[in-house]
Amino acid sequence: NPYGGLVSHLRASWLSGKTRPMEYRVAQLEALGRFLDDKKQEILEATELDMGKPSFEAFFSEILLCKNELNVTLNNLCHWMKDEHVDKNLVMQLDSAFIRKDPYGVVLIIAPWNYPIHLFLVPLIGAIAAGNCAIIKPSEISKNTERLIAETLGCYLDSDCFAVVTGGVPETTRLLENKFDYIFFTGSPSVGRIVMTAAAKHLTPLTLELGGKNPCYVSDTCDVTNVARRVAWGRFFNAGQTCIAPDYLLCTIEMQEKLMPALRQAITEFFGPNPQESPDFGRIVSDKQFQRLRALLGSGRVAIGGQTDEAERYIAPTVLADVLPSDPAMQEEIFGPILPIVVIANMDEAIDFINARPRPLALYAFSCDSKIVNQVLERTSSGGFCGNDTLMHVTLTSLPFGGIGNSGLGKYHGKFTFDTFSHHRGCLHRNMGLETLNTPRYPPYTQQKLGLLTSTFEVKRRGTCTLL
Amino acid sequence: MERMQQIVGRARAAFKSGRSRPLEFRIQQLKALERMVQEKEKEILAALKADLNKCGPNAYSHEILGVLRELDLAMEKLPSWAAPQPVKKNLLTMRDEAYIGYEPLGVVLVIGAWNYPFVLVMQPLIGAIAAGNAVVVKPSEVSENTARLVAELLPQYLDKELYPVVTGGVPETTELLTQRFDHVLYTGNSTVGRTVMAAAAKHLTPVTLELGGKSPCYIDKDCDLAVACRRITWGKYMNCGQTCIAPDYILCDPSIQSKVVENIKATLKEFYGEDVKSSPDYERIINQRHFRRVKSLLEGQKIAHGGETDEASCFIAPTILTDVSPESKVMEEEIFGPVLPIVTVRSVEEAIEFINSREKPLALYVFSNNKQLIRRVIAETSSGGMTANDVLMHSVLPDLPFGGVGHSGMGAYHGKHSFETFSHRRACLIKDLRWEAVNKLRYPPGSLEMLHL
Repeated sequence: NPYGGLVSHLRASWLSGKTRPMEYRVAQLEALGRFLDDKKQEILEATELDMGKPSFEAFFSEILLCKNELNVTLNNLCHWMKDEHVDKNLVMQLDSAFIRKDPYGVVLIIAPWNYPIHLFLVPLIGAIAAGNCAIIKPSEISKNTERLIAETLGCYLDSDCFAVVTGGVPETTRLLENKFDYIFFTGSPSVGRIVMTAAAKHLTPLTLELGGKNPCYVSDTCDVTNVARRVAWGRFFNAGQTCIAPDYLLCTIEMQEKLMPALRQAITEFFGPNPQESPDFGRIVSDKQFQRLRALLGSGRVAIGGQTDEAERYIAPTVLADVLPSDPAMQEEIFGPILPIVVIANMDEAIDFINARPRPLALYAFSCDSKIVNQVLERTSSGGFCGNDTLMHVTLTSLPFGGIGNSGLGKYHGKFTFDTFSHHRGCLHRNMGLETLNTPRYPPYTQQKLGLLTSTFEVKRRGTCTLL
Repeated sequence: MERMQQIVGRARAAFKSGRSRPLEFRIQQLKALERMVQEKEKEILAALKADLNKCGPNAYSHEILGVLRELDLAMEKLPSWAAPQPVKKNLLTMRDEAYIGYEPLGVVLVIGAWNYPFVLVMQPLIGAIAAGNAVVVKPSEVSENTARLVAELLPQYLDKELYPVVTGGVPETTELLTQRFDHVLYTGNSTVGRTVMAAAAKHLTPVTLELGGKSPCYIDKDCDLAVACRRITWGKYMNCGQTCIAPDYILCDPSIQSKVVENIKATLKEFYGEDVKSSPDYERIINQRHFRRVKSLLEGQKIAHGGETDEASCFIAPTILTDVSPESKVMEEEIFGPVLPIVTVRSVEEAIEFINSREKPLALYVFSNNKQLIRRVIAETSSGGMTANDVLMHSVLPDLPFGGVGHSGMGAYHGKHSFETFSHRRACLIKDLRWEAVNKLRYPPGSLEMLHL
């Protein structure tokens, strides 16, 4: 077991109790903040090398959003750590009943390559805030960022309690043989199954942030220009390699016609006449992903874009029109700068289309008519939902971020990350006196005792006569 | 295979029809459950007596009262539990609607256990119905009378397609677990817990596992021993020790060990009289297999009290073992029987170390007059839940989450926690299609200066 020693070492640190005091957690979190500040340039460079991530995007997702999470956590940690007192019943009035937030112990965070800093750092913030030790396993596919994390994170965090493990599938498989007290995984549903199966052997609880095809419904009544901008922004951010990107569009044939020039306009506004020359448009992370995406271009017909450059792993911001449900682009999560449009007759058809498919991580609906937006929301199911925009619901730290069904289980961001990495322990601290109050519960059992017990333990429906 | 597929398929079609979602429907079903419990009280008590030799008042207070209370709470609170929760917005979302919506998961599976066979299917069922789901109920076949009764009664009171009951043993449960569910709540042991989670992993189904373990009970020298021992006796021997949160073993200083034994003996006499076997309030071991298992734990032990057994009636007397070695068999597995080992430790540090060197238990108990000591035990150990200066009682407060950690389980339920377990919390952000100027800040071509605004 190549990682047994490392896990034991972290477990020993955990048992020593050093990660529990608030001061320690704050110190480690502040160190993470310094990591983001000191290594900002290196992070921008590494992510550019990995997938041509534009500096603007990298700053926004890898630095700014992470610092927000850090600050929300630091501002509220004291409050989150406090015992939550709960309502008591009649016999417990003199007792103390509360929920204690206990750390789990040694947790494992497995991050993917598309937002390689954000997707390990934001979970890590919660793991540290909750008092755990952690092993971080960044993705080997974003290898420059992986190297940066492996070489520099240790300079900021306590290496007795936090470690980085690098490697690919074989290494991750060996790592998962060890017992962890919590596993946080972001990646594909198929690997999610493998992680959960491995976790089951040790009865390890987990959070899986997976993916799927995020539908984007555009109704006939909408401001086409703004819709096009917001959809294009969400689709082409990070060259489409975003788990919550609008994966495909559903609209009527008339709307498809209206949208096309608007989308073309938005793309030109964003990236200029030749997006390959724009510093604001990313590249595909690997040759394998590039080939996979290029093969999808045969779906429907290329209405915008479609150009590719293998040497640069460049795929132009592309919109495919008249895509059929049976086309390759509709069989898998696209995860690239390609937006298929599937034509439907009306909103009901769109909703049926969505509901016939696995539940997505995100769902989008655009309409000037709020009733339509609400209809789509109410008649579908998804991890999260954003009306009249894309991606933005995950930037509010007060909203939980997570999937449902194939798109995942569990949630995080803000306090939800802290809660994810805490065991909520029900605690009751009773008085040793007042023993007579307990008599009705002891044998020998009698109807009279039962009557007493019932009246003290019962929850009465409001509207009935009660002594309370 | 087909039968399971059909049952789950029907439940799924029924869920898709949308009828389990309106609050009125959910409350109507909960009300029907309440009627069922009130009208069929006699039958339920009879089944519990047949399965576990649980007597009337005991069965009523442990299984029926708890269910009625949970039903009342759910019906009372459902509108507020199910209401969308607005969240704090930031500058960019000031004009928008941002909230968390509570939605049903779909078709959930509830697998019950045999020790509290009625309440352990009913309580999860109540939460699942309240959350708007379809629910497949699989009571434990080991408590066969209650299983049969649940299978008979539920279809008489509830929507038959939405809330089917599946009976059977291991083969049937294995088959059931190959189907896709949107959540599985399992109560039972860790071994089967692993199997349930592995089966759920194939479908990426979230699980709540209510397992078990050895719940330690530390008695400090500084405490009212008579009161402590009475409370411990009550919790330990209730249901013949077959309670997942029963104090499994005692840790105490050697100097008080014999006093502890004396006090427990005295309490046992108070509770069950001179001849325990003839007390109507003392239960039996569920079956011969468990009888033999528990009996074998007595081998080689110093029996300070009890030890009498009768295989024919699955009777094991309330038993206390003293000076038990941590390496002995009785200290290896969860006892789940009326056998109470006492392991001596010389300090609270030793007790904490002892507890931490073992798997995290479902419950933890500490008795002391010293508040600091209690706080220390809580802070330096981990367990599903805990009660200080009493046993079992933390499971009675619906606002406290009831669940395990580590080997004792994952997830929690009871009260509002059941509702949340069986709901999907969906993040919703509804923006306006106007006010595009604000969005321009984030669109390319981007300059880093703009971001610092």
